[in-house]
Formats: sequence, structure tokens, C-alpha cells
Amino acid sequence: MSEYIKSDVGEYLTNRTMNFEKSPPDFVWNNIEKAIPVYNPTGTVNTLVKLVIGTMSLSVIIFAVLWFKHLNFSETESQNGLVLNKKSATLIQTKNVESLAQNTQTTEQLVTSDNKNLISDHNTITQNTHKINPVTIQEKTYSINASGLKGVNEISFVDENKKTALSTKNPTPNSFGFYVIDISKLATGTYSIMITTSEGTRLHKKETFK
Amino acid sequence: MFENISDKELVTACLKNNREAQKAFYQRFASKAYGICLRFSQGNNQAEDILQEGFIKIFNNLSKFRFEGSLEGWIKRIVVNVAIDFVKKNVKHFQELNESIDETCDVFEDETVSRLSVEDLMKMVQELPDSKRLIFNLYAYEGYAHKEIAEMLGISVMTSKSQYCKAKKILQERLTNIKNKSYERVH
Repeated sequence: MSEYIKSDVGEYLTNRTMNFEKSPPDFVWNNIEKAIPVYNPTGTVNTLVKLVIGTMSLSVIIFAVLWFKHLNFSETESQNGLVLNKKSATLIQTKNVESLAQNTQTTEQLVTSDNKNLISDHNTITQNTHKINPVTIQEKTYSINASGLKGVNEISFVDENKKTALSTKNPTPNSFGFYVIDISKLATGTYSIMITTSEGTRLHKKETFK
Repeated sequence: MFENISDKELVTACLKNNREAQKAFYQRFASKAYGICLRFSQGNNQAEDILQEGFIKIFNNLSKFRFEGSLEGWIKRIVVNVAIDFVKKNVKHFQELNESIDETCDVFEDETVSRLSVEDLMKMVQELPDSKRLIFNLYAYEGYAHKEIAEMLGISVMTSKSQYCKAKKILQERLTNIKNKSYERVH
């Protein structure tokens, strides 16, 4: 007769099954690895390499764009410079010529006359400034429209004391049809402008010069 | 590569998020952990869920392990805690039993019983009702006292004891039935 061991069922079961092991299905690990972080050293190196290459590429692109812009700007500048230089040369040339013989004109209209009579033509007083080297000479001229005037022998400026302050004999109208009289040396005052023709002398106009 | 290294070296490699090391770690401890999961659960599906959740928690907390005790013991505690939480969710409430407790629940280990495989015995434990299975595991396998179990599950000590006895009764009946069937076959 065999002997049977009597034991508490709880103890019996735990003793028999305490170290029970069983391999789980493969999909369990697949699910676990999806949920846990992974470090891929090769991937990190690849990522670093990609980052470096990307940065270098970007730098090259930026440099190329800036260089291209720089080139364009330089060309434009040089083009403009040529234009400027030409202009400058012209100006300098002009100035040089003027400094020798011609005037740099700034024109002012000094209209002081209140004479509304006589010839309603253009009588303009022109103030010219020309430079001969460093010296500035102011020139004042008085223009009289030559149309309607024939055979003018003399144009004279008579002051209030009936004294002829200025006289121009046998004046010649300029290309615009004006007699241009230099009145720079005329003193300030009111003058009767007398025109002498073959028919005699007559008052052309009274003007006050300042 | 990682099969023959120490637990400490394996953990260090895992903490660097080396996938091969992590797989080797899992393969080293998964079978024992799965065994624990099977006895806490009703069947394979539940056991797989507990195992998966347990290892995710293990990997996420691996940096906290200080090698002050055994790694296997640390892993087992985590898996058991996950299993407890898992089963507790399924147990609506623990039936409060105030019956007189007869803690005597013996089994005769005869040929029939001894021939039963470990898988068969495990299946008997799995077939216990959830609340009884949980308390049976905590007391018989994990060595918790009834007072600790009562605090853990929010039940009385009496309920824990009676649930445990009930579990043993069920297991005893199962084993007796198997023996009787065997005798019936023979005789």
C-alpha cells in the first residue's frame, strides 16, 4: 500500500507551481519595444552628419546669394560712377570754360519800374554774375525790345538832374531782338531812358534802379 | 552579445536605450514574469496584457533601480503590483464573508494528483473567481499576511481569510474530482 502525502492544498499548489515559467508570445515584445525609447548610435551619427551637411549647404547658398547681390550692386555702382564721372567731367569742363570767359548765370528779375506806359514790351533788368578766377563781378543789363525801333543812333540814361549818366551809341540788337545795355555802373536812382533816332530824341521810359 | 553579461551591465546598456540590450533584458526575465502573470489572470490574454504593461513600467523606471537588492526581485515586485491593479479593476467588490473559517484544507498527493502537470495545476488556479484568485496569490504565493492583504484591497481581515479558505476549498474539490474520475476510469 502506497503512502500518500497529505498536505495543505494551498501549500501543495504553491510548491508545485511557484517556479513556473513560460515563454510569452513574440508579439508581446513587439508591443513593448514600441512603447519604450530607443537609442540608435548609428542613427545619431547619421543625424549629425546630415545636420552638418545641411548647415554647410545652407551656408553655401546664403553666401552665393550675398555674393551675387554684391556683384550686382558693384556693377550698378560702377555704372553709376561712370555716369557721375562723365557728368562731373562735363561740369568741371564747363566750369573751366566759364571761369575763363563765360558766365555762370543766375538770373533774377529786378522789376522796380512802375511805368506802365510806352512800350509794353519786355524791359528786363538782368543781373548776371560771372566769375573770372576767384573774382566775382556783378553785371547788370537793361534790355529794350528793338521791334518798332528803327535806326537807333543812341540810347541814353538821363538822371533827375538832367545829366546823361550813361550813353550807348549805335546799339545793335541781339539775336533775340533786344538792345542790351550794361547798366552796372549806373548809380541808384531814377532815370529817363532817351532814344535818339534819325527822327529825333524821345523819352522811351522812366526807370528807377536800385 | 548581451546574453552572457551581468545584470548590472545589462541594465547600464538598457539605460542607454540600446535596443539589443533591452531585448536581451526582456528575454532574460520574461518567462518567469509571464508565469507570475498567468497565475494572477484568468487566461493567456489577460496574462499577456499584464506582462506587457509590467515590462513597459520596468523599462520606464529602470533608472530608479539602485542594485541594492536583486534585479529579479525588483522586476517581480513590479509585475505583481501591475497584476494586482489589473485584477482589482475586474473585481467589482469583494464579498464580505463572516462565516466560520475552517482553514483545514488538505489534499492527498497520490499518483493521480502527482501526475498532474504544472500547467494543469496553474489552470486550476486561473479558474478560481477573480477575488479568490487574487487573495490566494497574495497569501500563498507572495507571502502577504491577511492584515496586509486587507489593507491593500480595502477589505477586512476576516474577508481576506475566508476568501482564501474558499479558494482552497475550490481547489481541493477540483483535485478530488480529478482523483474520483481517475478511480472511476480504473474501477
